[in-house]
Amino acid sequence: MMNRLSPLKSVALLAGLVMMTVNALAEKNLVVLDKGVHQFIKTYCVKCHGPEEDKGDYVLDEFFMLQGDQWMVDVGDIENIYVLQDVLDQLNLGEMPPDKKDVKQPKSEEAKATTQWLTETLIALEEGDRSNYTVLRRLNRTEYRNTLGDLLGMDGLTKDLTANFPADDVYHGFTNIGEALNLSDAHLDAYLEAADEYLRMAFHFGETPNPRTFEILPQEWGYPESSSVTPWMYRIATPDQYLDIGAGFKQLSDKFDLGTYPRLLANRGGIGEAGYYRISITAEAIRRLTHPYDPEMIPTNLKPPMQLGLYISDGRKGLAPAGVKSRKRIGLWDLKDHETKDFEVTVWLDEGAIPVINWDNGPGPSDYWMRDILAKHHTDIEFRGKQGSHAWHIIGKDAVPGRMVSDVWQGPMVRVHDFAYTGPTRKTYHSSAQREFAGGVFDIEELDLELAVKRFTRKAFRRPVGPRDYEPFIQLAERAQKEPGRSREEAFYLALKAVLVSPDFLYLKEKGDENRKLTSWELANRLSYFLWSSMPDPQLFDLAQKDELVKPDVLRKQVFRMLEDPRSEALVEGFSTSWLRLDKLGAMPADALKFQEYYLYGLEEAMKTETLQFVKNAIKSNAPLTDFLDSDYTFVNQDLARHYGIDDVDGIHFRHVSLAEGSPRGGLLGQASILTLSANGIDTSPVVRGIWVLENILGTPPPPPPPDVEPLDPDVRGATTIRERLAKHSEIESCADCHAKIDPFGFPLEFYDPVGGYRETYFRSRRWSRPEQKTIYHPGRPVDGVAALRSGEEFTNPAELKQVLLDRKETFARGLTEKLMTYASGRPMTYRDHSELEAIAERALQPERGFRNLIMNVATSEAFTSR
Amino acid sequence: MMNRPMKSVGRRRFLQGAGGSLLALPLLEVNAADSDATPPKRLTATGIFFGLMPQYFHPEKVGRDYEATRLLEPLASHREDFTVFSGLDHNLGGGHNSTKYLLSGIPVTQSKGYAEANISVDQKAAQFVGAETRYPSLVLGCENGAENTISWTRHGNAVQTINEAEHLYRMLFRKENAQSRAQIEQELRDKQSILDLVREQSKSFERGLGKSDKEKLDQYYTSVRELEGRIEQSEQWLSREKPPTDFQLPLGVDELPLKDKTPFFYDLMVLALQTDSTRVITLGFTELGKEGGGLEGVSTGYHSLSHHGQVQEVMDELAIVETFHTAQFSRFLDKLKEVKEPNGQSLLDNTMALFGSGMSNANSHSLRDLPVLMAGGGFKHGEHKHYARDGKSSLSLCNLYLSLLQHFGLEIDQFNNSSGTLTGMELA
Repeated sequence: MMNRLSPLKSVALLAGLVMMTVNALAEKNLVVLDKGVHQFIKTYCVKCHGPEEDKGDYVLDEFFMLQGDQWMVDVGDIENIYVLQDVLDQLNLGEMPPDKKDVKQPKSEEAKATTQWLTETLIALEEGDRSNYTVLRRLNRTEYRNTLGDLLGMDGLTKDLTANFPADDVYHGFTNIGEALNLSDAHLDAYLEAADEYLRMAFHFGETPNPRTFEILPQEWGYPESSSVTPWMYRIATPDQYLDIGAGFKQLSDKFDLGTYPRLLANRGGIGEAGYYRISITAEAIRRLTHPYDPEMIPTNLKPPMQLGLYISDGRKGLAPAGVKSRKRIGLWDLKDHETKDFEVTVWLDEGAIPVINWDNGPGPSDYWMRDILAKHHTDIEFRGKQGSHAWHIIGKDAVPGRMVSDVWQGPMVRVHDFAYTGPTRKTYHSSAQREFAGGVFDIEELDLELAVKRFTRKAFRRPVGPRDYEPFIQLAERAQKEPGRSREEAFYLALKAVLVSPDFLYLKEKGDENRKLTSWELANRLSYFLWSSMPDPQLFDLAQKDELVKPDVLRKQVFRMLEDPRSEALVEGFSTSWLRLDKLGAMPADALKFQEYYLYGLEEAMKTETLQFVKNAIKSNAPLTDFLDSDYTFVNQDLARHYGIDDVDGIHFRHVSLAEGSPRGGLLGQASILTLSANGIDTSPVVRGIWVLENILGTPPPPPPPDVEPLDPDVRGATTIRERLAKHSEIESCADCHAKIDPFGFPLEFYDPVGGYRETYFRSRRWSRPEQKTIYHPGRPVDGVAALRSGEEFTNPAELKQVLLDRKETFARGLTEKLMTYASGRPMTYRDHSELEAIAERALQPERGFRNLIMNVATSEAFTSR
Repeated sequence: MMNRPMKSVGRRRFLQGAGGSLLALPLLEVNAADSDATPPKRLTATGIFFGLMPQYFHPEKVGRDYEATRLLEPLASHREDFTVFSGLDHNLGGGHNSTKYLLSGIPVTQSKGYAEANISVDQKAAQFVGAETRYPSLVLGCENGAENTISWTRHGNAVQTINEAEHLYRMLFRKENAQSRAQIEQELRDKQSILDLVREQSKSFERGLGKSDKEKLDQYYTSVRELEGRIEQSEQWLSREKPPTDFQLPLGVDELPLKDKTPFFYDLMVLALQTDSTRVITLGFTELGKEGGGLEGVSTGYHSLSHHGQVQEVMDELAIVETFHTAQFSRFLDKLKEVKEPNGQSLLDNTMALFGSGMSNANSHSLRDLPVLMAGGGFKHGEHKHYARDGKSSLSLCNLYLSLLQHFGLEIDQFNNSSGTLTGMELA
């Protein structure tokens, strides 16, 4: 049925291929307009979209030209193609002509003839213009990072070496579309810099370094021995014995003070020489359950073991409040109560790196909860606290002059006895590159440079190579080592760097213009970048070499194998981010006062994890596609469970939970990640959420608002509700049509606040109460979720909305299939792909079938396995 | 139902090939102490992410005798040094997303149809300066989030911002010793020889590629060429001494809250211009950072405040932040005025200093009637200039940019979506 064409295709055709189309077409490129179509438009469209009323800015009669006795359209003008496209979409969707009493309706044959001509014309234009193949695709940032990791066999990097890459071009949420991805001199320079860093971490020649052990003594952390002014995080050192940390965070966040770091080392500029280091810590938990205070007064759960987190900050950057991205957790350990235990981790540390330790599941900053405890249990001290410009001062009623908090405090503590780091050790500790390419030699004079470059080129190019491919690189190295003052080692790196910025490495190459089946080598690459966002592994190379991968049963087996491999996490993250726009989560900061728990418990990360776990589970358990619309389970940890009001979830790890009957959770729309990214951190809007549903659930994005329409200016003083404010839309005719489609999907989601918490009323004020571990708010007017679609369907709450979406599961499945195929093949879908997408979507909805089947069917489809 | 393109499509110019090359200009010997020389033109732009409350920014009265508004009050002493504009914008929608396009007017998603993508006015000016200064431009961010990308290259990439004053100071004044200079020279030569090689390799890579693929690969060739140009430029500058300065940046500047950190950014900007280390600088602000930026009376986040919902108390708090920014800009103008050029003019006379936001009313995410003012540069000032809307569209802010670029020395008659130069701009 023509009227089931997915609108995304048109968007793809238009937005993605504008340049193509325009480049390929001559200035004037006239297409004869079918007489029937001309008549149709004149009869049914021009009354509103003509000279009298230019609704939607369309003057349809203006874009035909009469030449002789024939009506023509100039398809050399891209805008005219957009118009044809839009007319087709409106007819297909049955949106136009509108179903109003004074509007003349076409007979169905007339409409069908018109849509058929439009479809054929547009397909012909598309084909005459360009083939719908995947345009030469550059590795994006994630792919580059993963590929380098696999190429050099490195893992456990504490630093993102691609952090300085220019952001990848985003095409409707996707960052792997060949057509959209650009390359500039800034990219090349960043690649050169990154390659240099990677290679120096992966290889090491020369003497085995003489590692030294450096100790950080308790007093060297820079915290006082006894405190008159209490640090925000309450840290006290007992010289030469231990450092006590009496406060901490579940997650270091950018809103509060940070973990504990060695001031002395930081002031000296951090680690002196880059390399692999072994960090060892001896620590214990003190008074976890034996402290004398009222446990209710310590705002954290002390039932599970206390945890010590070890982070690495990239210079001082990761120590600054906003430096979240510049520090990485490299260790997390449970501490034993009153029994020291040794912890050890070996990691790469850059020059300037600074270790940070943290009580990772501790109570928050020590200010007020500690104050409350002191007021109750220790009235004999004077208490001063200071953090930046915030300071406080309490004198207990029985204050003994000179007696300080540190003299009396008996709360739980993380006690760190020893902290040492040993290194740098041989740099290739964690990399297989030395063995794989350099034959395991560490003496540069023994290196078979030619062989090493050859092996490296083959793996980096991800295809068979000949002398023409690798000899220029070998020559480069040989020339360089003859230069005065150049070492052989530098010459070797020079050649490898050149390999890593050559187009064979940076691009995924598929030859030719014609639409043909991919070769085994091409398929190996496409498949591994789809499922792993990285290069093929030896098994895939082997199957490509034997030309077996093109056999359907071999391909299927590989897809199964690859989905089982941990590298398929890249698919979970990459596809979820593109499809659901998880990249927008946290883009606008949530209000730090109203939603303090968001920062206090690192909810943003937890929300994202829930969604990723949900998608991962859908692959693993082959969950039916309808689970994305509604499910009786989800994945939470204790923090998200608290946010959702789900009881009896302890611990920070995520687990599968069954949802109670009537729970407002389940499905994607029950997930706080989606509800937060579709709000702005401050308030909610049915419009924004409605658009999200149309775009990502139904795959039918609405057009953007006309640019000359001013957005609503929220006024929270008066009695106006969001519904009353949105009512303006239905009064303005240019707004009314679209908003009648958008807003109904958003109103039932008003039951969720800007960070995805469930609410039955709006709130006049809201704050998180740490002692009570819950949100305290003054309720405002009740949430009104009533919505009605033009179809007559009415619904009032999230559950009923989910039912309405389940009734549209075919539309959902088509949209999802299209997104997955786009992600898999690195190109926008076009009209030509339509029938196959339709068939795959239909199959995926059959009983016993699920999301893994969908991935399999995409990976084995014509579209995916063809150029 | 589809994403209909904006009406502006027809105005796009699908020019083939690239525009002015980054390094088209020959190297010139610059001697700042040469008193006979006419001082070069400079351009700076300060961009505020969360808008500026229009009712507190735009004066009601048009012309010379406008009343200073709440946000312009801190600029009172410079009244004759700047012009405040109203009615100009980029005819965009898209809320926060579009505030990034303050200096360009074209969303990156629509930039493909333009020969120079969504290049921003500063980068356009930087292209013109080319190798004449050590840094074609400096793109700075003070309490800068990932969203703050007001500078865009002609390839549609956001320029990475320099967020640390200490780093900026080192860029401007730190002298390389002979050893590290030799090492940098070696690195540059290495890059050069790698690029020579891969350009050759690309020719065999190109064999068998489809038509669209070849067009993509063209970007690779262009990038190689442009990077080679940049390397040459770096080599030239490496052998020249950085300017001396007696300005000392205190330790720990970057740890300071916004309130105390901002003046250092502006001071370094003045120094960079004064020493002709660059002629083009942008400075972006997105966040308040820790402790509410250290601004007294600010109790919550910048974003939260910007959604003030017309509640007076919240608007007053937001006004603290916004007047802080205009006051700091005013201080910047003081400094520019204090610096004398070799020919006796002030640095402000030769610096076109823009200040504004890519969003007007953050409470509604409105992008109409952008709050923008421009100081110095040798123009006649002291006025509130208003430009009325024509039907459904506003006069493009790019018209102002075109005027500035022409004054900067570019011989162009269009910049992005400009329809001409801005009427009423006169030289003093």
